[in-house]
Amino acid sequence: MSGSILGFSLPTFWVGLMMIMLFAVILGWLPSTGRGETVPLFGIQVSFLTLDGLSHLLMPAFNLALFKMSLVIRLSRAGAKEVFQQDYIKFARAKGLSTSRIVLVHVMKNIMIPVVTVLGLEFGGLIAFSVVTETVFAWPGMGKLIIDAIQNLDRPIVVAYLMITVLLFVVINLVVDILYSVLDPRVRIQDVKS
Amino acid sequence: MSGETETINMDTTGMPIKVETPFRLFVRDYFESKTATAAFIAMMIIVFIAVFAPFISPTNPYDLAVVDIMDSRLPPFTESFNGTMYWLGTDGAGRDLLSSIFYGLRTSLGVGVASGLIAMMLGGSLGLMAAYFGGKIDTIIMRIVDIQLSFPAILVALILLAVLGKGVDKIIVALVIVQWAYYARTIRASAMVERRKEYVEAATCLALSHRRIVFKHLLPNCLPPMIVVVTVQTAHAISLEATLSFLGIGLPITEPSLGLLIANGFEYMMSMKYWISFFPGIALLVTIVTINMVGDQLRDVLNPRLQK
Repeated sequence: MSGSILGFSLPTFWVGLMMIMLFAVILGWLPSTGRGETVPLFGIQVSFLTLDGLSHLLMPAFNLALFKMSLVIRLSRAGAKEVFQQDYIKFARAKGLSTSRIVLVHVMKNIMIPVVTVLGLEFGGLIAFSVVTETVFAWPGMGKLIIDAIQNLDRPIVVAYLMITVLLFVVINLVVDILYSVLDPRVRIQDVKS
Repeated sequence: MSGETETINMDTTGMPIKVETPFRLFVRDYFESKTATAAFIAMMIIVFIAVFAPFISPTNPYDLAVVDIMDSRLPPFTESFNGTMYWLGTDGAGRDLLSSIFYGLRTSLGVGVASGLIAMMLGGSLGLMAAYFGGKIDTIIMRIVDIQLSFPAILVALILLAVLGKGVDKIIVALVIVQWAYYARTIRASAMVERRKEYVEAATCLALSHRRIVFKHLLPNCLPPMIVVVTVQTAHAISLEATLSFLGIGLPITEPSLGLLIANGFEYMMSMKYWISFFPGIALLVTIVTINMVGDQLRDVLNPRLQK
């Protein structure tokens, strides 16, 4: 729990800097900034298919994941704390189910809804709003695009960016809503009745 | 347990006085956890440092008569020519990093707490109004809240500061606009529950004014979740302010916060001069962690659903 508070509180940009310091400058294991070598895939240059590109991806990806990890830890802890007090958990215990089965099947299913909701929204945010990480690691993504556009007062780019972002979020919300009924059958039954 | 506390809490006539007030109960529950107690003490120390920064910092880092360019980029634990000890080293302009951190803490905490309190007052009163009057007012306020919450904090702050420009007042405005919706939503949720209770009905029957019912009767009963949001949002505000300053659109260079100190060290990173951004980052981290830990414990203590 304290670990998740740490992950929650760590300023993203500072962690990025310290990671560059440790892994790029002191240890020299990973490249510090940029995107690395690219190969064309359906006419688009992508970096995640080359080894060099993947090594460039490692640090920014971990930096972005750190915050989400602690978010998921906290969400599932809060959910599990409430679910553990429910009668069906007691019943499952009384039935003699193993702890791992209770946790992985009975508890997990019931805490998944808030986790999926938040992760879905955060996923959109990861693509569109990771301004800080992309600035620190000089990653040519959407976040870097928007902050450069704001600083250059490049309004068409800002507007186009906002439109794309809206579309992205609408699609993600749709997927999350569909996932709800997969995860929790009660959602589907209620919808049929109403 | 109650027997023990009663013997301690006797007044002069030997009559036991009532000990189980909600506040005492709350304090006892809070300090039950050792980590939370440590976090609370650490938070008090940080606040002390921030308030009394000019008196306890070894040098004044922004007094140009004291700062010597010959002392620039000294590593931690080095002594300058005139005998000043630099515990955490110096930055590119020869300023003592420890003193800079104390002054930066002052700015960061000031901005965070000020924006948190203003946002609480604004969001709190709007949320209370929405819950108490209901109907159209509720719909209008809560739709604005929904719109506000659908924008990510960092984007709103970025665009606002790009429009408003730099400055302490401007960053507080931006942080308030980012945060008020959280307060409004939290207090509305608890006020909706409280509003249906009998005491509010009784107060209405006594023909008390709306203002009196809202602030004297409704507000005190909605405070617990609010306190949790205040701590969490203050930590969030400090972190956001540091991020904005790091991106170069937050505070002006004349009023350096911890985020600016970290940004200053960015250019020295590649030449192994780690301390310029490392130590301000640690200070920022400790501040945010302690506030979050206090908020976390408050949430556990004040949450009626998890009562033992």
